[in-house]
Amino acid sequence: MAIKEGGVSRKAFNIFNYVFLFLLMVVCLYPLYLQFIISISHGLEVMKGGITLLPRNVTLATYRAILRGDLFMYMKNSIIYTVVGTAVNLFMSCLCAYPLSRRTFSGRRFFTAMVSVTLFFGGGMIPMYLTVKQFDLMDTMWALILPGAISTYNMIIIRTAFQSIPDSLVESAQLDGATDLTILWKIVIPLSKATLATMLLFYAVSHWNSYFDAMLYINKKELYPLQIMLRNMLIGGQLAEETEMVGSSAASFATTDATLRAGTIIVSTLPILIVYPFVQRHFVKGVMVGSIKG
Amino acid sequence: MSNESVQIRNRRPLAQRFIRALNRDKYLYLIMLLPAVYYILFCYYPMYGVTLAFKQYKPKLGILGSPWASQNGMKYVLQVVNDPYFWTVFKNTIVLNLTNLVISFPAPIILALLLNEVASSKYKRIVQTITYLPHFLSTVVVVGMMTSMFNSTGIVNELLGKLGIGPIAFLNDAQYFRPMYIGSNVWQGIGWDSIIFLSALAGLDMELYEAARIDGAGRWKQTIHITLPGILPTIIIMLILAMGRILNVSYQKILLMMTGSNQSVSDVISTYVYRRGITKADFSYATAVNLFQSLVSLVFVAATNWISRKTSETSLW
Amino acid sequence: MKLTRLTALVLALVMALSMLTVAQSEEKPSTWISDELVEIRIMRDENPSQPITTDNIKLQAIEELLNVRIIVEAPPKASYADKKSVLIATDDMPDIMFVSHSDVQTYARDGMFVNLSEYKDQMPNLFAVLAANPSTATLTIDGSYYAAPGIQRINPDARRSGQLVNIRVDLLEKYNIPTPTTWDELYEAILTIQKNEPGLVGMTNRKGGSTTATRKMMDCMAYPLGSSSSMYYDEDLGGVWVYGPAHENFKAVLTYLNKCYAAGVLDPDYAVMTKDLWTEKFSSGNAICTIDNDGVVRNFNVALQTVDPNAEIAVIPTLTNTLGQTRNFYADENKLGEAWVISASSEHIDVCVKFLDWCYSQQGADVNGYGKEGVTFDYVDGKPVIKADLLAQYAANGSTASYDIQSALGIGLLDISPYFDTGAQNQMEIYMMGSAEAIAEYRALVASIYADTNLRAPVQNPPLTAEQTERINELSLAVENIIWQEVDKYITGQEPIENYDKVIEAARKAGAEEMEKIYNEAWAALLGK
Repeated sequence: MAIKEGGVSRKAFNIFNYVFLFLLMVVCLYPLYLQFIISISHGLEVMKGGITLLPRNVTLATYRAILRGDLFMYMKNSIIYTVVGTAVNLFMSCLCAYPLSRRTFSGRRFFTAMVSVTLFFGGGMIPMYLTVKQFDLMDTMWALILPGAISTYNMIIIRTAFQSIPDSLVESAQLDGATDLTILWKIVIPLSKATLATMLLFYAVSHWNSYFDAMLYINKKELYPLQIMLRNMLIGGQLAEETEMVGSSAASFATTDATLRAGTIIVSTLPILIVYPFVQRHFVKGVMVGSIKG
Repeated sequence: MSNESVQIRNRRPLAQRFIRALNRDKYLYLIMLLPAVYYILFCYYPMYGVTLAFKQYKPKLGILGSPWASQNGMKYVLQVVNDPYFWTVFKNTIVLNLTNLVISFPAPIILALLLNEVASSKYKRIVQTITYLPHFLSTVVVVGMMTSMFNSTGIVNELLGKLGIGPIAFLNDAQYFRPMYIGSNVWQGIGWDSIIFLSALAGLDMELYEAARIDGAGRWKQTIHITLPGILPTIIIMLILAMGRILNVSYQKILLMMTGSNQSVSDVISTYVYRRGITKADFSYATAVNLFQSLVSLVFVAATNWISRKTSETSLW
Repeated sequence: MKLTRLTALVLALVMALSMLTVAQSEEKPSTWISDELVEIRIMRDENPSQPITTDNIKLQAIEELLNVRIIVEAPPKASYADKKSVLIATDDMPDIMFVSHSDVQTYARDGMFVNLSEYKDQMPNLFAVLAANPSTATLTIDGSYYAAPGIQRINPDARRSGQLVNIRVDLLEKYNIPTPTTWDELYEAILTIQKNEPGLVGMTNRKGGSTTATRKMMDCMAYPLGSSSSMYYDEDLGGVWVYGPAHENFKAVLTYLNKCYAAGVLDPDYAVMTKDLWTEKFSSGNAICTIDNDGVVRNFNVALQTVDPNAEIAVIPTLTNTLGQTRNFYADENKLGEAWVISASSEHIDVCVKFLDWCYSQQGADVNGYGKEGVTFDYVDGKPVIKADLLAQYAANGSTASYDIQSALGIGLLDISPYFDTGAQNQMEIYMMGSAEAIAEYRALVASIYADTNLRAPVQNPPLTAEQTERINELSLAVENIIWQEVDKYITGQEPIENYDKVIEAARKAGAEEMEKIYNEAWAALLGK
């Protein structure tokens, strides 16, 4: 056991550590909790402010309003884009990272330079749009997946993980007659699971949160991802100053800008929360589990 | 001509070497094929767009067909460089990002190390899950909450008032802008950013710890001598990559936090370009600024990379 | 495979033949603007309050009347600015697109949009409406119209609004304070209320969509206080264009606000207010006065009255400022900043021209504003009126009812309605007021704003030439950078007002003077025409 040894100072540190992390948790959880209680409070109460610990005048009107639209269609689109996109991302990034991680690879310098340049220089919005149009990707899922098939940042992190695998392992496999494809699949990828799980998360979350490409390349409403609609609720309402909502005195105000915004955040974060533990166990390990692996 | 023969003489061994290498690494080249095609089609092919910085853009003529901008095509580049206000926002951007880096970069590493010291795997996972949540809050909401907490009648000033301090204009006074901006960044990013370091920690060899313990090293010594060096490559790569974004600040959060009083420190390149863009879609100007940003970040990354390669084995290229 | 292809071919032939015979046997309706059914792509932004539907009864009505099928594309408002600029810049626009007047200024000269003035004889309705609204002359580019602007067809229920003085009238009454008629009286009134009810915020405001809270406050308050937050036409100075913050009179604005700030009448948080915080302060009864859109402020009464049933925030008539002027603007009924353009690359320019013109006809305004005759609305005394059962159906949705009905029918200002009519929204709102008493009160309020003669019609910026536009763009940002970092110092009293002369001087030198000159020249050129 890791924490067995140590005297008073060790104990003091442990207590400090637990308490500190607990406080950090409170500070990090509260804002989302606040959004949750706002989303189930009555709009009029939210307007008045002062909701801090408990919801007031609980109502599901906000969620009814959010669900009234085509939420599920957008959510389905987002899930498809995220799953397919992340699969393509991981596949392509591994393909790219492996040769770059091999110190003996003769094209290493060339390809590393080729990849690194893209960290700094890009064409910009207009040529990118024209490219996607030229390849006939407009209004298809691939317009959201192919232009960003590799994030050079993430690919470099994967390459660094691949590099940390001892050369001896790869060399002995080569002596056994394994090809690079086999080595990548059978040795390198399994040994980099923690990093790849992290990258899976990074890629998936960025697909889930992305709206800009869809806004540019998708014109059909039935192909929109969830974030486009959610962002409009979050930001569009603020931009719409000149056409502000002017209700009448008989209106009920069960939902307002603020409750819709809060509900939107809850709805868009929920799927990530549900999936997270499955990914998390690959990189957050107990000390014991870790030692078995080594 | 003799010049040519020299070239041919030089070329042949090179070509031979190349073919031999190609043969030896054929599988690696094969693996690299698909990524290379991707980079060529979606990264290099659109790069002609960079010329926009030197063009008087006419949509009907396309980027390549548009005439060169006046002053030998340098009109927009000069507009950027000769604008004294641009240098103000340039300085603001660098100061803000460097200060941010000094604080926001180590924070998730420290969190990962603290989490590493937690014995209970369940507690560790719960803490980790919850600390990463703020990453998913929208900027609008984060700044909104900040405003309601830190305004003159908000909870923070109320508490300070009980101690006989304040009220302090956290949101308006220029000297508090950077602390507020960076503080909220740390809060929002600490859990999410720690993930990458946690995953590096998960890959460490436990036998090393075993050996250290036998040598009588305490937890602190183990952290210094095993844990930190173990995740150092990850730290360095993350640091170099962060240097690449030294001029990038998302304009959204700053615009939400900007007031007349703090504009002298809060106005950055992206907000300046954004405000220019409101009145006109000035693609050439924006491209010129981008080009400038790219060159500066290239210098920063190259320098960091050079230092890192001299002092450790890790480097980007 | 082969068999199915063959059957499909035969089927298609049969269908084509039968359609031919149908077309021959039936007379082509006189309202058709195209012999064949044409599809036109129209794009506009989607306001989150009113989602745009792509197969609604209005589009059906248009297809039947005009033989034109409208394909609506509606990117969300939050990203629309980027979307439209990329579409224009790549010359990949839909047939008709909703843009802003500044886009027209930027791109019209590059030949991106159809010059509507060249089609003047084919667009009698549009040009009749333009002639009836003389301020649209300011929208021309080198003398031509490249866009159809948003023009309102005023209906009997329409209300006028503006950035008006809204105050807690119940508190005025409670402390026997007569309704203020000058800004100084307003100051005294708020001070008196605050003395009796310590803790209440006096005058407060909010952040703008993309501007700071201070700027937004100045946009609302500087004109009635004697100046303006930007370039404006000042009748009181003899009818000239003036850059507000670089003029002597701006000191009167700052002096007044400084007096308010020092006394605690102006919210100490005025510079950092958000829309949410602003809403909160008024809805919970913690604030007294705001100068803002009166329609939005009136919404606060619902929440406010759950706290105190007697509380009411309402508009008071225009106040006299310290310079002796009694003035404010009402919000322009038209949306001259909005522009409907036809892509010069469209394959159906003729149909688009006819369609856009039809939108400005009475029938077009009726369909775009109320839907399909006999199905969603009827004519009562010649005026379109939404059917009562529809109103009843959507009234159940509460505060969002007026947007929900417009969204479902595809009508109103936020859909495709260049010549818009707010009738459906007004009728919905009035329907929901229920009691005759409430309706009468509402009508009295609307009438009082129309009756306030000190509310002036806003003056549109004159049209600029290409060189003038470029020069203004260059100068305005530099001038703004000088001014808006200073304004707060004078409001909070960090700097004495005398020092503002230096800011004026710096701003005038940096370009405010030249900008004024350009605007006055352009104005003279416009009047000369």
